[in-house]
Amino acid sequence: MNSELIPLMVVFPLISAILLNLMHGKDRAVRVYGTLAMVVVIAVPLLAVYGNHLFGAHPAIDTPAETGIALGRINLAIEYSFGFLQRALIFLLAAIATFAVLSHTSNEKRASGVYLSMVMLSIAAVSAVVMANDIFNMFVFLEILTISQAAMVVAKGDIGGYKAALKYLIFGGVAGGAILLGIALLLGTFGVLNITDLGNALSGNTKSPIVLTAVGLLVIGWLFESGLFPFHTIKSHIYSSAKADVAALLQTETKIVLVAIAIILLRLFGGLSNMSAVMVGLSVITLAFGSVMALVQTDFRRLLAFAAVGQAGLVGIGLSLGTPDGIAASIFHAVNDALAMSLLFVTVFVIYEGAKTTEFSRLGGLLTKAPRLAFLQIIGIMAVSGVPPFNAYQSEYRLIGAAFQAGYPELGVVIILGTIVTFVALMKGFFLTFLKESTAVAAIGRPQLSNALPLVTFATMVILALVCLGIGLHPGPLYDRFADVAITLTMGV
Amino acid sequence: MNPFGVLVIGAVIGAVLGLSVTSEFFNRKTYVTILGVAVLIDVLMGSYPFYTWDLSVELPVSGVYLAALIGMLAGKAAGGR
Amino acid sequence: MNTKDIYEMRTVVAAVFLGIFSIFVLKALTSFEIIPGVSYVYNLQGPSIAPNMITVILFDWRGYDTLGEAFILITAVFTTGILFGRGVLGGDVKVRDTAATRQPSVVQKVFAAPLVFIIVAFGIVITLGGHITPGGGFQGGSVIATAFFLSVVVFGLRKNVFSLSHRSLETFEGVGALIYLCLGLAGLGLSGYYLYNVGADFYPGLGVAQWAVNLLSYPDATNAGIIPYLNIGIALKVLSGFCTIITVLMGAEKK
Repeated sequence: MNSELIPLMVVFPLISAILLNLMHGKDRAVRVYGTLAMVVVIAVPLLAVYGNHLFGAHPAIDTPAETGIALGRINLAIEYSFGFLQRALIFLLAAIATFAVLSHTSNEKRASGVYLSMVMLSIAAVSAVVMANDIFNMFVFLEILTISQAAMVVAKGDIGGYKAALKYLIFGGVAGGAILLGIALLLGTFGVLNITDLGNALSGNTKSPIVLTAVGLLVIGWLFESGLFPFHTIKSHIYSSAKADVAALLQTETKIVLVAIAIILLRLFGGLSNMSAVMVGLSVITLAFGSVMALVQTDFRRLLAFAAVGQAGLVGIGLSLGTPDGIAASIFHAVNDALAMSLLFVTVFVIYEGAKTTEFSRLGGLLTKAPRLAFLQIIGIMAVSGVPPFNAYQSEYRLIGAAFQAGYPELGVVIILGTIVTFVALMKGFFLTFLKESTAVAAIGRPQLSNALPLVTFATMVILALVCLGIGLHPGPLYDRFADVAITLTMGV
Repeated sequence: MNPFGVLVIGAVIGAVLGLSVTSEFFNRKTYVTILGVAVLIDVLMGSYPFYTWDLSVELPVSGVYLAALIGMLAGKAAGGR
Repeated sequence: MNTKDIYEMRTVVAAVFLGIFSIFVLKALTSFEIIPGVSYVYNLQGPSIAPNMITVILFDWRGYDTLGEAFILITAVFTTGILFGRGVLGGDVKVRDTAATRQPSVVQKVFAAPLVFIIVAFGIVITLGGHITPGGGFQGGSVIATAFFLSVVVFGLRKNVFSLSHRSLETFEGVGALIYLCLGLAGLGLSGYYLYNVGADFYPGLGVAQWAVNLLSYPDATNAGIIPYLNIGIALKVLSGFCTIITVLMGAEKK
């Protein structure tokens, strides 16, 4: 069924990006339009009807024999499909992006139209990647995503951000090239770009060297975009160089893109056990490296960045298993972790704003200064590391169950170990910031954290904490529908 | 149907770009050079880019090119910077 | 083993892996048989829209991808602006304009200014002929931008043939992108499909109003519908994007 609101989820942010850039310099216009645009961005995925959208109205046709395509019918147009999964992921993205935009418009003295237009471009890009049923379209918007993410880091305006963004763009170029080459090989061999068609053409045809090379190249792209093993340092570098509200947005986008591309890979090459094994292996390595690297950091932002990367590995494990339970649990964990990690990033942002540093050697004894912040942060830590009343507990528990059910009990053990290490690392950060007696803070001027907490930031943290708690207490409504999505996905494989 | 609209569009784009041209580097010789070279290029282009004209003879010059050039000159004259 | 040795070892390991990977890719490419695929259908149906098949595929079937490609360029231009201080958080960083006015030689002085006119007119022809002959918005826009480059290289940034401010370049870019986006929205509003080629009305069953078809059909016997307008939007966007980048790069101060 054709739904007319589907393209607006991408096109409206693009239009807003152009307008915000034109408004740059007119402070009031930027603030008002940026806030109003986010209302629309949140509303459209909720109002849109489930269905498909064909760009340019070109229908599916019976395949002429001369094309050489081994399918009865092919799609001519670029196709977007929109279902519950897409709605949930885009709504999550829009919500976190709204917090980033509001925190910008309310905390900055001068609103930057260019920066907000970059936020809009990244929203559009992620929405497109999530909905795209066309592999080339996915690539195009991944490129926009990479550049706009780098730009958001650069916008902070310090030399560390420049370095991180440059590295990110160089690796992004390599990964983008890998994806494009993989797509070119698939297009040349099978003649179609539509993912549903390509999946049908590929079924039972996955052992030729061309296909294996394409799988390798696409997996490289997936690893970069989701910050998994060989690229985990660059991703964590990007997170820790950004402002914390940007970092919260970046890690949300990364987890959504991880889920989206992994689902595309599963739809295309679901029958390929080698790919699954490689993906599981790299995800496990990411989980181990991310968590252990988090343990040894001396800076709270870098610690969080590595913890976020480690959790991405956790998401990757379930998706790579390819079983309905694993996929459902992974998507669920991606949503939960994006929420909880955003909460943690915002709390650290507040510490940074107050104390102008997040190095542990210069922090300490903040508990008496900012008890509300400490309370919210401990909620975030418990939520991220899967302590029972909170949301990640529900998804990690289901992930471990899925690993057992898929016949890999070892993976369950790895997940538990990774979670414990993450918890220890985050608690270390909490202890060194809030509990440890320190005189160092006195030297840099006592931060008035509890007084200086802006309303938007505080409301953001409280809402995120409540959502974490709410999903933890009632996981059913969300998880059951993810499970339906996963079952539909694996039926097609 | 003759594509006169193309000439209009070409002239408009030319005029928009011509509006921002400064007069400092132009004198009568420059304009003579422009027109001379433009007519030469136009003849060499022939009917490129091959719009279909309902005329008894095939058009020997590229109308769009001339329109764009005239539009630019007009825009420059109107801009007057 | 000190740090330098580790870096050297890392390079060697990377080279070995790259070699192995290249062998796999080359082996795959030797067994690569290309089939016509979906482009056969495009080529079959395309001539009924416009003669230049590349433009028809680029702006009709894959028009939405082209929108994305255009936005890659836009994003890159914005990012270049941010790198040089425009839109950095906490207020713009003003880059001091140090680009001195250059003293052109006699030959440059005589030929550069007329050449600018001739190149711009040629760029417009390429843009407007994009649906008939090789060319189009990307190419035409780049050609027009070279005229600006020439003028900047010969006369310097401050005082050259074009007095294009950063603000007007932004406006051009915004207008170009909005032309593309809004033509897509017109298709969405009139037929229910984004970027439907309203002017050509390829699928009359969608019930697009006749006035809209007449309004957006291009004044030309080879009726390409909205494709030439999309080309114009892309041309504006590409030329202003390139001009913005060169303005920013030429105006930047060495630190």
